[in-house]
Amino acid sequence: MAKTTKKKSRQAILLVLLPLLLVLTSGCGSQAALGWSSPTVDDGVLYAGLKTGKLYALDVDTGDQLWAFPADRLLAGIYSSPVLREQVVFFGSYEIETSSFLILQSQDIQGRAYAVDASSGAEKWHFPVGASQETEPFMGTPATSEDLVYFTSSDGRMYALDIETGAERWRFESGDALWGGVVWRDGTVYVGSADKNLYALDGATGDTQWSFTAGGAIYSTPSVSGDVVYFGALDNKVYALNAESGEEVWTFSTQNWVWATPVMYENRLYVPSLDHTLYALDAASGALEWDFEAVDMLAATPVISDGVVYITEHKRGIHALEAESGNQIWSYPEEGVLPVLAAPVIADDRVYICADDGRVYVLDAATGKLQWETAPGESK
Amino acid sequence: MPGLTELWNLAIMEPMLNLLVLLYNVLFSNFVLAIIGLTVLIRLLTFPLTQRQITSMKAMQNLQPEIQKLQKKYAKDREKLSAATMELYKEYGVNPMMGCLPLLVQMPIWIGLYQSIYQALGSTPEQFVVLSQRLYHTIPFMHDIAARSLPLNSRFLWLDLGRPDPWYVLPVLVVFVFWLQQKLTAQPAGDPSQAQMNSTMQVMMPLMFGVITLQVSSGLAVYWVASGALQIIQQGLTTGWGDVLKALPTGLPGLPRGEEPGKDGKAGKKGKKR
Repeated sequence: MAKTTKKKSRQAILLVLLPLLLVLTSGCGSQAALGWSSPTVDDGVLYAGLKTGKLYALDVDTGDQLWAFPADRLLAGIYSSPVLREQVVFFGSYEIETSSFLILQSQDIQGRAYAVDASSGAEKWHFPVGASQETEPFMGTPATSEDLVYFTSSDGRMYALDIETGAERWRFESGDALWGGVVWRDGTVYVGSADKNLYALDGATGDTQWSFTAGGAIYSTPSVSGDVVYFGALDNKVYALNAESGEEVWTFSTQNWVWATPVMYENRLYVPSLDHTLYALDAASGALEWDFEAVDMLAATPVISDGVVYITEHKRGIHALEAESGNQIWSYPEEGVLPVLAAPVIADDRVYICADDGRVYVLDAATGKLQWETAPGESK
Repeated sequence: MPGLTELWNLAIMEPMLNLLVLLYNVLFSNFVLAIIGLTVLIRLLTFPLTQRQITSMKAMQNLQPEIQKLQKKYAKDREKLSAATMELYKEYGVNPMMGCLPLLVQMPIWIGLYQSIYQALGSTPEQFVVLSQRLYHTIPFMHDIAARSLPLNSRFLWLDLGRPDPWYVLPVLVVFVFWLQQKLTAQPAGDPSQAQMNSTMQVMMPLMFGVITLQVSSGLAVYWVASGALQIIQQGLTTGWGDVLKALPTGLPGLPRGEEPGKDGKAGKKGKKR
């Protein structure tokens, strides 16, 4: 009888533990590491924010690590791409402070804007300073003017900071998160918000010059070419607006969200969509000239150099296409999976990719052949 | 196993996700109301099963005197006792498995809902872009609803529905609701081993779900509390509120109890045998 009682108690415990295990292991498969940052190349050095939780400076010929920031800890993730200006690297971070007591754990998600010396990796300044001024993560790629650097944050604010000291000069508050980056052109900064508005602000004061309401949230960093500003939204459309007045010039509809930045090259606008398609549109009218159908999402901004469009595809690596026709020149890898969400960078006939596996891949820009790859931060 | 995963997403997770977004749009852009709305729909869908469970449990309770007679008769022969008990259940149309079946049916719902909430409230860009692949863009009205509604507002009072409750209110509510449900649906103890199992389940199940609630998104905890409350209401309407009130812990102010305290203030004698 005692054995039967014990057996039934164990069965009862298993019946209770089973849903616990199922629920805790049935997550959506999201990555443990975070980040989605495109690299930058300048003067023989590759600057890359990787999922390993640091910003790295690597030699472009050998992949040797020159420095890593921060030196003494790991960031939870880096979404903004590093921006280089006069030997200073600017980028935003995603940080998690975890505190625990017995089985109770709480996480405080924060962010910082950093300015780092490009030659040594030493921190010049960070913002905000002090626990009383915590902000949410800085997700978008920053932009610079003569004396200011502009950062966007998940708390819906754009911060304009003194480029030398990091002191806040002004801030702009939108109605929802700012995940996209900022673009500065002729004294005006343009930024899209999850509140569905594209804002044009005076770069010196933060005053709103105009705003335009799209049909869906905007996570795309806008791009400006001539007197037109282009951006995508979660209503599946790409918009072209007059950069001075905010009036709509044209729109083009895709089949899913337009997350990445549309890019102009020789009067053609290249628009990647999460419907797995890269669209090449006439920049003046928005008419479709050609499209390239991939297998997976196109979440990254295309990069165009010497008549070739380089576009990364989620889980499938990168494609090189003729800018004129959309015909594929090469793809890497030719078979198999390579998860990439970030845009590549092209420099000195090479393509540099920061992949979701935490590795940097360097390919020959003409042929797509792998030249070298490295995993900074892994012990050799 | 990408095939099974995709099948699961197509059959369970994506419909729930899109339904959540639709309900969010209909119910004043409030994600708590959307979760409660989904809970009501799921309860309606599983009503025939849960109603059978309640009536079956009640019938088993009513059979207790007969079961006790059989236990006395076959005290030394467990095989004959087991056979006679099953015969009795069959005669009265009672299924002892009805206690577990709703739980098993609800488990894929819990998992699907957990994943749907996690996807719908994507708090990082990686999570959010995957959401784009799960929404029914090709259905025109769903495309319009998604464009209008996203990103969903995950805040409600002190809660961020995509994250655990920082004030631990929901874990306490989940423990209470699960405890009360266990008391109401526990199979009558025919023997000491059954009584032991009942006792273990009544303690372990609520505690375990309370612990789970500390770690998972508070949106899932909202579902558990709402679903549990609806189950209790359904039980009260089916078998009478007396059973529900009797199951409540002693000392709750303002609620009548089946057992009135004696003159000396101690709990009164047990009710009459049926």
